[in-house]
Amino acid sequence: MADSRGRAVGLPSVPRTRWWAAGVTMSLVLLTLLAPLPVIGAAPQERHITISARSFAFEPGTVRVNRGDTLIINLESTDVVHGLYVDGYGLATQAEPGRPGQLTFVADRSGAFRFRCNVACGNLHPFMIGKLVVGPNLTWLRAIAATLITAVGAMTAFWKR
Amino acid sequence: MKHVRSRIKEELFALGVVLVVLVAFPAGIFGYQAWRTASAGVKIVEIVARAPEQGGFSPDRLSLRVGETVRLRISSPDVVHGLTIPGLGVNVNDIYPGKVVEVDVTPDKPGRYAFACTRWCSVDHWRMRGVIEVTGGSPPVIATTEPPLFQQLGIDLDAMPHEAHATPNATPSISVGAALNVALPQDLTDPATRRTLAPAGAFDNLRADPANAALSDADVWNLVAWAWMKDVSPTALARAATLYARDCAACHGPDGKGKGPAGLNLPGMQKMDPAMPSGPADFTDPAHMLAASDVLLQGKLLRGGMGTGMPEFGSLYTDEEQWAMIAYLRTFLFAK
Repeated sequence: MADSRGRAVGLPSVPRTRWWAAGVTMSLVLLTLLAPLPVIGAAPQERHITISARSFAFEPGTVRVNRGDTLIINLESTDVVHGLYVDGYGLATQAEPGRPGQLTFVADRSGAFRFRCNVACGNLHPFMIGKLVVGPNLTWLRAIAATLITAVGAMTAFWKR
Repeated sequence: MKHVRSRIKEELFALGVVLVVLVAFPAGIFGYQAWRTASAGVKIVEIVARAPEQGGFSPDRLSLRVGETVRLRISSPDVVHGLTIPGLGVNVNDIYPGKVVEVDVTPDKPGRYAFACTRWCSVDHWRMRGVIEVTGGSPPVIATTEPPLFQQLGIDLDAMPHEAHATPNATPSISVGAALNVALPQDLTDPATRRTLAPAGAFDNLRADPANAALSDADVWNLVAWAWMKDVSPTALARAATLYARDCAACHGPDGKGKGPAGLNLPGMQKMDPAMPSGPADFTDPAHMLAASDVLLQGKLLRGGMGTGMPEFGSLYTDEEQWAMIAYLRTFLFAK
C-alpha cells in the first residue's frame, strides 16, 4: 500500500522532526527520573526526637531530617496506648503513659514517609498520622522536572506552524 | 383435579422452605454453639472488655466454683486492653480489638478475686476492674484477715503534711552503709518494728546514739539506707519495677518525680481544701518521703484516694508485692 513515491497511504504523514522531538523528550524524561544524583547535604548526625502522642495526633506531626542521619525517636503517650509505625521503613514501637517507646534507625531512604498509630486507640485512630521527611524529596522534584520536560517536548512536537 | 394436587405440592414446598429458614437455621447455629461448648469439656465464659466510659468489663462480676475449670474468652470491641487476675495467676497483656484471647482458670480456694485492666485504654483506665467470687469447697472459709497495719496502729493517712526536718545532703548509699560495719540497733534489724519507723526518725535515733558519734551525717544516712534495703531481694525489686511501670508510672512518672502525663490536671480536691495534694506524690522529694514510715506508705497504697483519685492497690497486690513496692519507692532516694 504505497504510492509511487514510496510513502505510506492512509496514515497522516508525520514529519521526521516530530519523531525527533518525541524521542529527545522521552530520553530526557527517563534521564530525569532515573539518573543517579550525588547526595548533597550535611554530614550525618544523631538526632534525638521526642514525639508525643495523644488521641488523635502526633506532636510534632512532621519530622524533617537529612538522609543518613541516625534517628533516636522517643515516643511518649499522654493519654492511652499509642503506637508508631513508619511506612517505608517498616519499624514500629508502642508507648503508654509513663512507659515511653524507643525507635533507633538510620534514615537511609530519602523521601516523605507517613508514620501512623498502629494500636487501635479510639474512633479516629485511622486518622492519627504524621510525616517523616528524609532529605530533599527527590522523587517529588524528579516528577516535577519530568512533567515540565514532557510539557515542553509535547509543545515542540505538536506545535502547528 | 391434577391441577389442585400440584398446587398443594407447591404450597407444601414453600412451607418447607419457610420452616427451614425460620427453625432449622437458628437451631443449627444455637446447636453448633451448644455443641462447641459441650465438646470443649470446660465451661466457657465470655468477657467483653470495653473502655470504662463504655462500661468496662462485662460481666464485671463472675461466680465460679472451687475446682471447676473455666475458659475465659476475652475480647475487645474498641481499644487495646489487658487483664490481670492476681489471685488466679492470670496475666494477659494484649487484648487487641478483633482478637479473642482464651485463658483457662481453675480456682482452688474460695474467696473474692479482683481483676483489672493493665493497659491504658482511656483516661479512666484505672476504674476498669471487676470481681470473681469463688464459692464451694470444704470447709467453708471464714475470713480471718486482720486489719492492715496502719489501722492497727491508728495512723491517720491524711495527717498532712509530713515533712522531715533533717534530709541528707547527698544520696545515701546502701553499699557504703553496709561497708561501715556498724551494728544496728534492735528496732532497725527487726522488720516489724522498722516498718513503723520513718527513715528520718531512724536517722535521729542513730545520730543521738553516742556509739555513732564518730560517724559523719552522710554516713549515718548511708546506715539508714542500708538498714532499709538490706533484706530486700533483687527479684522482689524487679517484680516491683514491673508493677510500677504498669500501675504507677503513668501518674508518678517513670523517674518517680510525680510528673507523669496521666497525673497532670487531675481534678483532685484542691478546690475544696488547698491543703490537699495538687497532684501525684514526688517520690524523689526527701523531705516528704523520708518522713513516711513503710506502714504509712502501705496504708496509702492500700487505700488510695489521697485527694487526687489515686486507685487502691490492696486488692491487686499480694503482701510481698506491697512491701516490695514500698522498697522500690525507697530506691528513688537510696543509691546502690
